[in-house]
Amino acid sequence: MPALSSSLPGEAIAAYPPWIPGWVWLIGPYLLVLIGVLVLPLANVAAISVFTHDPRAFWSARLTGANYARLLDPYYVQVLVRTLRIGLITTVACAALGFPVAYWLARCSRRVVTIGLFLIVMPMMVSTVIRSFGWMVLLGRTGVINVASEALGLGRWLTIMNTEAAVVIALVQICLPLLVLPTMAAIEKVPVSLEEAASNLGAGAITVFRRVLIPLAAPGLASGALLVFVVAISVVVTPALMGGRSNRMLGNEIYDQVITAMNWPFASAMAIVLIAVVLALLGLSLAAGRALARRSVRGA
Amino acid sequence: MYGRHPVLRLLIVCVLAFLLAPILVVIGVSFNPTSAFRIPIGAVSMRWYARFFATPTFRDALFLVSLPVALAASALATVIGSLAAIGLVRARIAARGAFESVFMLPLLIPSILLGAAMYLVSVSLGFRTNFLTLVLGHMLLGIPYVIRVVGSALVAIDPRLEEAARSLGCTPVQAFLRVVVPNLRSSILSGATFAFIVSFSDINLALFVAGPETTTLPIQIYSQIFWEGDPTIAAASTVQIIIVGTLILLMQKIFKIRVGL
Repeated sequence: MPALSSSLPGEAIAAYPPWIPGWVWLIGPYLLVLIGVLVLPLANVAAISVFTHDPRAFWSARLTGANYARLLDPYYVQVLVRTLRIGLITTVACAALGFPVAYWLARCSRRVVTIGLFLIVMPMMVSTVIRSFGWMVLLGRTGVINVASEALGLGRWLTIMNTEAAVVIALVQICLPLLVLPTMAAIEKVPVSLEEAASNLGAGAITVFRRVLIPLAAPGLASGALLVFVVAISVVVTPALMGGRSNRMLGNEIYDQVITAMNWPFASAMAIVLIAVVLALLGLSLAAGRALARRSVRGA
Repeated sequence: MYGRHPVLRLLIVCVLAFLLAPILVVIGVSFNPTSAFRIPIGAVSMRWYARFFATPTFRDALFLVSLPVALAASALATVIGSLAAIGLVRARIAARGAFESVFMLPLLIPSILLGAAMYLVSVSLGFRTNFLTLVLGHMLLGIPYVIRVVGSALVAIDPRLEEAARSLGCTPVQAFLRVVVPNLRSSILSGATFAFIVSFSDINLALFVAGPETTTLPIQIYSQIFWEGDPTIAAASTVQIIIVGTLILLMQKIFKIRVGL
């Protein structure tokens, strides 16, 4: 996991006031919330995913694998592949654009960092539907860019709406801050003297980034990339607005099956597949983090 | 050491322009005097704001749903999250790291799945999703932010302050309440603000959980985009942007918090 773990000083403070036997009262309420609002509803989804679809009562409690088998239908395979592809492209693009921004934020003065963080965090916190709407207005056939281009006599050349590229553009804008913030925190922990040492030994800027900064900031970069991927593969609004009918993602199919088609067992099966992807990636990143930590201990 | 490199600077300007572009465009369109989705050149008009506050569906979405839900979700998230942060940092619990990971789960589980799961449960139990479902869901999404902000402030407080208070005669609980908690005030308020914004901006969970009587502002904006409404959408969006932007400024200037994830 990102963030807190690195900032907890461990047992010295943790053991300090010996008077809290009532830790139950402290973390108990949140544990109850987690169980009641997160674990049980998701367990319910997992259960429904192996039940039989029944148009009259949503589902009937007869076990079946049909909901998962239906995911092998070429249409759904295509949706799943498209979802993962869009997630991957978005993550790579966010890493490429976000790492320099994170470096800049980590190395600039305190005054600039306040302004910079505002410019990164404010877009992050504005509703994704508004940001997707902004892209529609910008990129549409009669959008701001095409109208401006026409006024300059260049014609309406931009025909990107309702393509996968349009979805990716909007998603990169939505996800970029999620990568920048953890990466920035990781780069801040890398002393500038390491960059200077590498540079004194003859490394150019690209080598310093490739051989010093990126490896040392890898944990932050990885947790940011994980967040980006998870958000990018689970969107509904952005592909619905930017991608049209032919670029639907898994989130759109889940939404339609829950709300419109009311085939809850099939929707649940898709939800479980999505969660499985997320948990597999989480496990992978935890394992990679542990391996990285072991290697750096041995190297030291 | 490359922070002032011209290539880096050019890249930063481009990326920031890319990040801000859709937001600035929406703000521009909201002042357009005609009903086209264009950025006004010359004359500007407030007519879409007038239309926004005169349209019951938009007005109710903001004042009767989004704001009350966000306030309630933020209040609950702040209390539960602050307690959990104190427990996580201070209590002697085994497997602290595991607890920490579990506590951050709502950030990692896609919120459309939380929304879908809550929807299925409430319909299965025989009641329509309502105000409370929305508040509970948004509360869950906000708690990790509160834990992050309050937890890292708690870690940063010098333990010698408490030791001093206790050597001057405070009981441990008094020392905590009188020395540590006042020092946490701005962090707790920032956590509350974060939780408020998370609820106020959410669309993924609300997509499933918001019913006809609990249409939040983002949901109302979304459905109007589908019905190809007029630039009132842009005015509504700008109202959202202004509220969110003001709250982030507030955290930076008043609470002196370094905003982040």
